[in-house]
Amino acid sequence: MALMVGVTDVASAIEPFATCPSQAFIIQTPASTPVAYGVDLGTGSYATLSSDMGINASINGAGFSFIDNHLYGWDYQHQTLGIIGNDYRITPLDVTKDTASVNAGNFFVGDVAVNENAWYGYRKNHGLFRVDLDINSYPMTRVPGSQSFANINITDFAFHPDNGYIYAVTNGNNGQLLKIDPSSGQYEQLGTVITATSGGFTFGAQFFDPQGNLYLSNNGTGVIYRVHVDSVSPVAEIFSYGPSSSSNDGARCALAEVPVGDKVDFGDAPESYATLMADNGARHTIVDGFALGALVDNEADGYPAPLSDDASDGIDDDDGVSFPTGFEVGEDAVLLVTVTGSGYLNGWIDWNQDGTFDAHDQAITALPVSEGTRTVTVSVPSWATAGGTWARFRLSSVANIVPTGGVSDGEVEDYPLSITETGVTVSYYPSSSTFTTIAYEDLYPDKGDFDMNDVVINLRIATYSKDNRVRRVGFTVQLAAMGAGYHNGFAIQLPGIARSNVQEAAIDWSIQGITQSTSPLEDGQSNAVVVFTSDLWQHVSGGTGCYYFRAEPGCGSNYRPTWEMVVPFNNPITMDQMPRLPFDPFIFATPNSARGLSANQAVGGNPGRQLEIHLKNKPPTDLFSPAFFGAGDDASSVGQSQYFQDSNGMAWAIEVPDTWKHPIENQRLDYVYPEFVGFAADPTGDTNPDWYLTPDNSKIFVD
Amino acid sequence: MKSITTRSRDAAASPTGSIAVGYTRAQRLLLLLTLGSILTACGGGGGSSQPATQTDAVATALSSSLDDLVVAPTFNLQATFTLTVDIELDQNTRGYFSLCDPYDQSKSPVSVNFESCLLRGPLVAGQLKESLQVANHVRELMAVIWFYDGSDPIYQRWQQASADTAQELRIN
Repeated sequence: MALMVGVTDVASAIEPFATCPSQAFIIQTPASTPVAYGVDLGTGSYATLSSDMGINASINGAGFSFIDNHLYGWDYQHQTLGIIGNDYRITPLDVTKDTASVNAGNFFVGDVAVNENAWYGYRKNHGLFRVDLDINSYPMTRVPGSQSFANINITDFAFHPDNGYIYAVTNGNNGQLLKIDPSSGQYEQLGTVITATSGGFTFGAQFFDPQGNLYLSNNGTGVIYRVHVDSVSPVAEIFSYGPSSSSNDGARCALAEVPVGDKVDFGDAPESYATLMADNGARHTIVDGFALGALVDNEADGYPAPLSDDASDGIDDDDGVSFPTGFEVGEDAVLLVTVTGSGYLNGWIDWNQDGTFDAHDQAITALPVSEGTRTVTVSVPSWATAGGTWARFRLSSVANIVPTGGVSDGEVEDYPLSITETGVTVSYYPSSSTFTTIAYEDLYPDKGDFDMNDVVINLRIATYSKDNRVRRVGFTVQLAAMGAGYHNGFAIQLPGIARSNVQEAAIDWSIQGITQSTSPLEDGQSNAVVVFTSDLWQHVSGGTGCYYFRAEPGCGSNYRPTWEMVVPFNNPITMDQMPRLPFDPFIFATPNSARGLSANQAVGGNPGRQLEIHLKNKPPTDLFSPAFFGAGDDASSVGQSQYFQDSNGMAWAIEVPDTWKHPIENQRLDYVYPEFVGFAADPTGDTNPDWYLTPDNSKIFVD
Repeated sequence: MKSITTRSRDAAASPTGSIAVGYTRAQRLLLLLTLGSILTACGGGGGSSQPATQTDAVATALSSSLDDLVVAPTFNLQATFTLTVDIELDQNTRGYFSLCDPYDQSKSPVSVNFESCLLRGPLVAGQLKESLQVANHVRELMAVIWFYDGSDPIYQRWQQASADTAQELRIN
């Protein structure tokens, strides 16, 4: 398009920007000359784009034209509107001003419209002014009647991406969101979106994204806030930490998405803690030589637990904070913090487990940290709740930050933690980072093909005791594979622990991080039995071209349905009364689901809940039908306390005390793990004691 | 019929792939028919999967395999051992005990993954006693006692003793 430029004849030299760039432009005048910065709104990272904009006075009231891809801004040196090309040099335009425009002087509030080719500027007490960018003489006129509304204190405004209105948040202690009609200058107050606790706000740079989010850069602190102007009760939340300046102006193509950025680190706490970009999750631009610990990883978005990438990609970059002591209510806890580089550490621990990091959860505030490892002592408040919770630690060069939003450097690391009462010991089976594996064959009472992958469960058990009495047990259960079409449920019996000794109302359990409200404690049982699901197939599908879940070659998945459960007891149980680990994890036939001929014959119909499959020699529950004893291949002997074994003493379920690499479909256990036979044949357990570590690698399932 | 079903499953899994050795022609035919159902239904389900049992004739065909394996009825196949932990320090010492793996002794301080532990708990009057069930493949662990008064932590490596010896970790 042709641009008429009166003062200098360089119209052809003004190259436009790339179409609708996603970064925000901030123009500041730190000394006497203006400087252009490009700001990644997502993290607040910024870079100097130019410190030679061609004049020796401020540029203000800038806006980005979606129509011609230039910046326009008010040139204080020539006291007129100027056009800025991709070399960031301003060229003054020969604007034809009406009398009111002449009297208004310079403008520091302005933006380019989206729906029309015009620049609008505002001057308190003078009104709203319009420069028509379509007409070669650039006529500048006051919007009729706008002077009567020119009583607001703003330092910038921005055009909404599609509704035609201008929005701004006022300066001072209470930021009011205003919606301004560009045809009259009349404004509507949409409410207070932010209140200062000390000092006041000066929102010198304001811009939109396509979703109607207004971004506000506060001059004094550089903090960038975000307000969704279309919400019923709009509020400004901290979005990121950008550059600060006493003179600040911003422009942005309102139709460009706010991208995450190229080198950004996210947290991995559950979604409620604000981990995803969509939730304004904690995020940091990765800067070489500045991290918690040694590792930091580059992510397109957060991976909230239980799908944390630290678990799924096998690389745990959360290596900056470790916990040499436990977290006991009312006691001190010691953290070991390792930092590469130096900066400030902030930390939050969700003491009351409400799923958010609140102000009272801040355990570490703006602690200066430098290269190396140091201890940090935090006090666990007396009101903290015992149980599992999450912590977030953020390293950055900005001292005071909140647990959400973007920062231009450093790293965020999220950790699951366990808070206990004073004096509580926790033992983990097999350890707090690994699982034992229970592998089932599900053709019971008939023998199966012994590929031991009909149902494969990973299980971790935490036992909480004080004064040698167990107060509660915790289970982490993951479904690792299902190489069978039958429908099975999964449950754990606590042999010798009466159902009545469980604090049923206090059982805390979740599926995929979602808290469950129904009781998992099964009725009709004398021992405590907790049911995780009555149909494992409700939680997975085989995937494209796959009959089963993680059993056939090429049917891999990083997804593991995960259950967490804590079962507290009314009367703490002495150690010698506790059942042997791993207690009694078993599968059962899903009620009303089809089963094989022998199973049906034994009980005269679909067995449903009556059919259970346990580890060898674990007695079944009260709901099991004794009709299965001796049916099919079952050779149980109740009198000798021998259960779930065939005539050769082989089991329908085996336990492997490791996160086991299970056989692929149709590959029999002894072919995949040749040392198993020697182990099983020696009742002392001393032959091939770790048989499960040496598979034929061509026959194990790999994702 | 039943014996052939089982043998065919074994043969399908055999590394040799020689699935029909020693069978009559009729058995081979049955074997091929049953292979079809194996491919679609290894475990339960599908409605067509019939139970499999073994016969002596088949069991003697291979040695050192599940076919001729006899497990003692009382052997529950669990691959774990018991580790006794016995900590006894001065009763005024306030410390926190962890037994973890992995660790790196080459670093200073010793680098221990406290997110990967078998036991965590405070010393009560300087003591902590516990009996742990441990996976057979765990050969060594790092015990750490961290003191709240800032004094140097105690690091003690535990290594699995020979099979016929009681496994214990003692710090006093």
